[in-house]
Amino acid sequence: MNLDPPPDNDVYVYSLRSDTWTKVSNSPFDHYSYDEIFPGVFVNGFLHWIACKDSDYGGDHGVIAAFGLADEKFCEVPSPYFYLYNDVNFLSVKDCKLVALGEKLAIFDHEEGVVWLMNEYGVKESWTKIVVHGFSESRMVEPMIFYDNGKIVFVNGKLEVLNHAEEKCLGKSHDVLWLEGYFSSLQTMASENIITIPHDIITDILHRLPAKSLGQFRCVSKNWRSLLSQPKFIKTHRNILKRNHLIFIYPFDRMPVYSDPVG
Amino acid sequence: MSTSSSSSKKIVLKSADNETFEIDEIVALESQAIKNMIEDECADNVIPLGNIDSKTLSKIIEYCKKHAESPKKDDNADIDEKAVEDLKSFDAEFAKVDMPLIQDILMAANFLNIDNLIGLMCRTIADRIKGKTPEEIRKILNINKNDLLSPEQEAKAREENSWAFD
Repeated sequence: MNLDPPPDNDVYVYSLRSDTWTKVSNSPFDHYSYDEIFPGVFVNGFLHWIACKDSDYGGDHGVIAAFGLADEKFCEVPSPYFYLYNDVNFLSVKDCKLVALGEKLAIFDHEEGVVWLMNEYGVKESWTKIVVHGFSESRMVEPMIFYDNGKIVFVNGKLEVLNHAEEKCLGKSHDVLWLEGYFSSLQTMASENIITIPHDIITDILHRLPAKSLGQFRCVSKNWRSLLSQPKFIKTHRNILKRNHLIFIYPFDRMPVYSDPVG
Repeated sequence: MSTSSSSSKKIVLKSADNETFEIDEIVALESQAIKNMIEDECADNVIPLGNIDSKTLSKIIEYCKKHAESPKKDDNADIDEKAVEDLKSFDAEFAKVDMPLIQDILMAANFLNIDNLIGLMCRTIADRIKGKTPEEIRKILNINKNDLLSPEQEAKAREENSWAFD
């Protein structure tokens, strides 16, 4: 196969069928000004790159260049409204990369922990900013971002599940999930998380605890708070403890207080 | 009744990592799930336990053996005090393992439906988390971060339950 493209700056498309390179219209963009040359990101029938374009004011700025596979032509996809200063678009100075999240094009700024998601392809107003909290606190070794089943997943250096991101301005169809761990550890992490204790067994465990612990454990999580406040739970717990303890007092509070287990 | 004679019926269990364990039927009967399989005559071949590894399975079998050999409460009204104490201390020793293994045993016992063992593991976990703070609980039980209370909600929950934090 003849996989080396012809050595100049023109644009060629390689056809597997004919095993040839065909010259198409030149790119109006400068694809070489930015350090990192990355493979085009494919969304909506277009390949996308961050490239450079001459600005009307002189100088140049970063844009999203798109190449349509159907018409084999270049065009520009509108960037989010975001300028660092004057007319300098953040794409040209920030450490951003393009990613495809589900069917949508997104810009991942892994310095700031910000994701810009284009909810409607080609519509400038549809760009949505997603802020990932806790991002800057831990140094990203090789930050990565994935889209999985309606969730955006971030992966970082340490193997621990961290906070979910704030769902600020986030489309209804998305949750943001923020993971730490190398990509190679994702598999392990997922299976470790699956082995959590099912809800009914958690209930069984909590039934065996003294009331004081249960009062404290109402702060553990939303699920625990609602479980530990249910009349059914409190009643069962009372019955179990009655069998084992001599002293029990009802305070004004919702949770009856018993003596701690003796011995 | 003696259980360990070589003529008794054997059941073969296969762990997720393909190790096989041949045990007496009476030992296997400690598991309600396997008991049902035996009654439905589905236990003639090897019983594959694709979600239990050999380390966990050998612990489970150790437990079932001991409990199958011990006299049951409902078998005999005046059972030997010593046997009860013996079983108690066996259980206490049995539970002296790390949390991940406790969790694995609990999940397996739940799957195999071994009531006493589920109870023992739940008691063990309860004992270990009893004096812990909410922060420690979140870590130990790997509470989903999406399930956490907001700082305001947590402050409110702490205030409402301040009697428990004294």
